[in-house]
Amino acid sequence: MVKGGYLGRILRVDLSKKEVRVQEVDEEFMVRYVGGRGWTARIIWDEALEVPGAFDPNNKLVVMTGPLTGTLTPGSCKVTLASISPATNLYGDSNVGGMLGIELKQAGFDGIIIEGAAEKPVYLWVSDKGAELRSADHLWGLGSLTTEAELKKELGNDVSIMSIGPGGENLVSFACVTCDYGNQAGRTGMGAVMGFKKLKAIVAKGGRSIPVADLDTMKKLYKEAISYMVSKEDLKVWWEQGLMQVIEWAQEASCLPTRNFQSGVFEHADLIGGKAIAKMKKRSVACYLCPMACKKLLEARGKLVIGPEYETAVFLGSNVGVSSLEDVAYANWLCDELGLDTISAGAVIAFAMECFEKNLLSSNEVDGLDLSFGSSKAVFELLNMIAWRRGLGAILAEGVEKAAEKLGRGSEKLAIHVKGLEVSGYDVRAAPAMALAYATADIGAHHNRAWAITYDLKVGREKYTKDKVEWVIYLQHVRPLFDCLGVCRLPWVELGLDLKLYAKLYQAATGVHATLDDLLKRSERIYNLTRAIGAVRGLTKEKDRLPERFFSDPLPEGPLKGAVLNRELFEEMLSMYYEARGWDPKSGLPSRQKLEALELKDVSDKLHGGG
Amino acid sequence: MVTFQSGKHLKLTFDASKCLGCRACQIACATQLFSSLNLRESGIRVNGLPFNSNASFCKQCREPACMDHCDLNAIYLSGGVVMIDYDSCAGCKVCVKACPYDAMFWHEEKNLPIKCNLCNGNPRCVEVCPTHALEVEEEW
Repeated sequence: MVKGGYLGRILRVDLSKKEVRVQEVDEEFMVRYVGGRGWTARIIWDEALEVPGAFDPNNKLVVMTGPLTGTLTPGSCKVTLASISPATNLYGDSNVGGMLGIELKQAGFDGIIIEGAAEKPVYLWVSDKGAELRSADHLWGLGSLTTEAELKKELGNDVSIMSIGPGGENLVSFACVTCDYGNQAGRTGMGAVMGFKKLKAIVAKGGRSIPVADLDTMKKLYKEAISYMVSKEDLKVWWEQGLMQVIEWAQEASCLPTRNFQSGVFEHADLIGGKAIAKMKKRSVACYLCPMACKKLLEARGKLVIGPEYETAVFLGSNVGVSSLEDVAYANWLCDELGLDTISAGAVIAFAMECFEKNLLSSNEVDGLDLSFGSSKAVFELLNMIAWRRGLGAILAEGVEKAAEKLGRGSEKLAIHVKGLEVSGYDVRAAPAMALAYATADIGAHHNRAWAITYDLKVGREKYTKDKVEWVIYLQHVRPLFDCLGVCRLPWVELGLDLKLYAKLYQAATGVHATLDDLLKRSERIYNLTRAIGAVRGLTKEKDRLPERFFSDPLPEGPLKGAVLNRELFEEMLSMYYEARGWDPKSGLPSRQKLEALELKDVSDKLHGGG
Repeated sequence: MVTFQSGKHLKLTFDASKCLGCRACQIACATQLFSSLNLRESGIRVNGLPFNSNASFCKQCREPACMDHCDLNAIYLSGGVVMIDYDSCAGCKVCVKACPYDAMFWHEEKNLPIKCNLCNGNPRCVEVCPTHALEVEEEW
């Protein structure tokens, strides 16, 4: 029986009918799908499986905490936002920090299911008294950060706010959702889903204690976790540089995406990396109960910005050839204010820049802008043009896959994406495990579905072996663990905090007995479920495809000069992957046997018929 | 271990430049005072995040305004620590308004004031702070 961690109540908000009601959550559901990403996956399967597209009133936006959100766990502030994605037309989700999940739970709710679409802009106000929809006419058109400031004037400084900017309002396929200034649910266009629904913001403040089954045990485990983290010498580098230390690492490993993935080394990496941010930062900023404090506060061109982190420095830095950290940080601020994912926004700009370089775009098609790699001015201008859908920005706002389709002229080769989601910050020409992770990720190419590149470096960059396949699958199951529990993965990834500790924390919070293996089994269930959502929506193994560039354009410079992925060996790896997963090797989809073994019989019946 | 001794005056000190803004102090206090996982049931609050860290907590004044203003004598000094006698408190909120440091908070659900009581000389917030931004200082 569940004794804590979960509240067992979800808000169901119908924007079309302007109704808010509270729904109880069944205990069996709670435990089977763990929370966060597991719950969102099942809810999207149950409620939005066959909606025609992301921009349909019947599409749902699900905002969900996990059983450890707001409890005594380092980084326990994570919330998953999920929907049918405008970028991929598949299941999409994105994870965000900030205080909204904690406030939601303090107000008595595990999460929110948002359905329908409002006629006029609204925001949702959640408090101990329940929830209500309020007019957001006065906020529509404002940037996300400005919206936060305005809402705080109305509601006080101690509320938590999740909001969209013009990018979301104007249905940019990679619009993000910002939470409490420095945290973004960046990927898969959740901001555009909010924009379509005319939901400008969600604001929460809660006054109750979050219940846990065994507070004393939680205190003990939390103390253990923090003592371990603080004992690590590496922690000081996190305080100094945060995630930006990865820039130097990626440069050394020749996997730093540069000029639209044309190269894996950037000649100015030292100007935009960890050492540079250590000098420029004003302070470090922690997430809830996390001593790593990987976020950095900077001032750039007069604007305060939390960031950039590694991916942002890649996509607004090396991958567009920009070598000024201040300009990267300012572009980061623009993305936050405009409500754009820094990864995809930077990626579509890099695409446009390479088109310009290769004369596929002429000067008069780009409003006379000089789109040369390295032009910060072009980056700033294009970000605005994308968010407001002006000129070339209207094409780029569709994401790189559709932008290339529209533009034609052979530009498809320069569109670096998988399944419609722009590839994130690692070059994979000499990283087959990471390449496999990108190709098979359920939401499209995103490093956090399985950050396997360190394994490539550990066992050999040239290897296309079964152990790599198994490692990718393992990581694809470890990651949902964090997303389901509602906590950050970095204490485990970067400082080596014991995974078993999370199972113990889960048990202390909920009172539900579960070992790490039990939880990882549920992750496998969830991974198969999101794959199955894809399958119903037309996903086949043909879409588990990497951009051609990684196979046919050798790295032009650096220690790995000449490296490309081996197509034949990579195909073999893919086959090994389907086999190891128990998926049909022909279709690449979960087999009946596998789904039933994972206690997903109803999903199997839908996919394979019968029942 | 710091213990109360007559004549010794203990107080919390806060170094904003060391604070990461993780709020470990805030939740440690809420669990200590009320076995609560709610940030608003704490005797210490970290405000101003993410741009800066301003910690509000009782300064353990030698002539406490909260105590002066309490007609029911529900606030008293014990070994240099300003304490609340909840049995005598009527929940009138006067002390909250009287505090010049905004360091007396209000428990919305219980209708009671909340303040730092220095945890009997070993504050939990100091114990959990990963950077030692919070410390206990002794004054004579």
